[in-house]
Amino acid sequence: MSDLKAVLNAALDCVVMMDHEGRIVGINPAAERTFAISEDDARGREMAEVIIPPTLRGAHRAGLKRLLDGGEPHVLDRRIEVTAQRADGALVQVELTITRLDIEGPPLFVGYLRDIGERIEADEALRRSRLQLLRATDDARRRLERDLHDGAQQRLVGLALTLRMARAQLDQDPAAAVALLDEAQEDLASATEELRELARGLHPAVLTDGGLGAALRGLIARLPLDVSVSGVPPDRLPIDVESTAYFVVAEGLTNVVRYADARRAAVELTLRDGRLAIEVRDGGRGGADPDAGTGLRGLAARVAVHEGTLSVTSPPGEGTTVRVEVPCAL
Amino acid sequence: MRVVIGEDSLLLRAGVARLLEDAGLEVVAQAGDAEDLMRKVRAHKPDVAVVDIRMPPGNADDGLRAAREMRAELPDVGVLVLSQYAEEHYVTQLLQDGAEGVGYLLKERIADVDRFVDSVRRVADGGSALDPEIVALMMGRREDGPLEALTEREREVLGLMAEGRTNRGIAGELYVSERAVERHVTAIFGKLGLPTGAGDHRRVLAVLAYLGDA
Repeated sequence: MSDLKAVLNAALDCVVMMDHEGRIVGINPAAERTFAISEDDARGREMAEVIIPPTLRGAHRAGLKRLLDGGEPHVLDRRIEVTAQRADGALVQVELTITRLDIEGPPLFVGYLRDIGERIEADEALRRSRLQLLRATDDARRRLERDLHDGAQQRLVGLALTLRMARAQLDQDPAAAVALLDEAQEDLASATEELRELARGLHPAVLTDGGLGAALRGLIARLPLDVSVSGVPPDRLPIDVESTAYFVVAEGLTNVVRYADARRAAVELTLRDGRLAIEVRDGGRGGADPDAGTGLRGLAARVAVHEGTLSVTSPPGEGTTVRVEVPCAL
Repeated sequence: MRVVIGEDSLLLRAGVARLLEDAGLEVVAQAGDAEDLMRKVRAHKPDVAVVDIRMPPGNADDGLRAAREMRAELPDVGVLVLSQYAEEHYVTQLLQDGAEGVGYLLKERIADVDRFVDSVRRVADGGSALDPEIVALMMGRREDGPLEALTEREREVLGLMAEGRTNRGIAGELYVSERAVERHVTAIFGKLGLPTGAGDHRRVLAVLAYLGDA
């Protein structure tokens, strides 16, 4: 019997034993934890009262009675998902299997329960994170469309017009045609430059070729901001981690330029215990709302895919710190 | 002056070849990937190779790696790298073994034919050619420091020096005399605490080392 006790004590699943009158005979430590009640408090009480929510008690009692009267069991030896209740009244989703012990005398029932609340929550979180990622992707596409439309596309249309005008002037006023051609050349140069910067923003080639340090250097050189960078790992990291780290810093610093009213910012990377922490700090005006911009939402989605964490600390008047941690297997 | 071109886009390759030939240079070979380029450069030993940074087989920075290989193996061959991007990282790699006979320009600079041909010639002659945008990025990073001590004109001169331009080139660009440029150069080197008296090539390196060291 002590062997059996040891097995029950070590079991990860909750085990609840019930007699033919529906009273609890014993519960194991896992059940004590899940239902927030000690075995001493539970023993002898009707199981319905202890772990079944009020709305389901009637069905439970009727089922037990039918079973004892020789009726067909509905729940015996099958796996079902039901709602159970803790001693403090909180509801838990559990997976339940009930068996009848094959012993002499009045029947004894054993219920095996597993708290699947965490699993359900994890499923839900996964679903949410997928949706977030989808939205972030759509946001990014919209932004890209707008940038192309307002930038290079407009310039190219303008360029077509300028060239047409130059052609029309060619015979009557060659000097004017030359001026227009010069203008066209400038427009073309601007369009090329915009496309180049846009492409860099999508995914800087230097990140693939030279790694995080090289890409951050290029990023920072383009910002009207004094940025100190520390802790860039000397070796290359997995490419998806490098990308995420890069975009966290890019988004963080872009926000500093846009909103923080600060001249300086600090970027700190820490690689420790298989996790990369990325922190972007400024001493600006603070009060940032992480839910306000599409940029941070997109980052959150990206970080969630890595099963990482993102936090934004931004008390008014005391600057903003964006901190991201992602697993980073080397 | 003999040139080998390494560029995977057929259109650009033909365009660059044509404008260099129109300018009186001899295009002795063209290659569409980094391996073929290395073969042809080894065979022809041209005065200069014009190399696209992004090329097959890897379609990453294969052109840059080929360029560095050439520098190590055939130091007499000038290398002008063309890139879609203004990134210091690539430039730093390229300049690791000196600035003599090296260039890095944004691809779109080809459109300014005279300047482009001038850059190709300069690199072929053992000089350097660095894209103004790269120079601007490097100078921007040091804006708060000792560069503040420079006058507007001195900063212009410093930028053009970093691009690899000669005193005569700088004088032409700024519409001043060579003598005036020399005076500016002396003043700049004095203010930044750089050793004076070096020739054009060494001077570029000193300036770049200074700007890159931030």
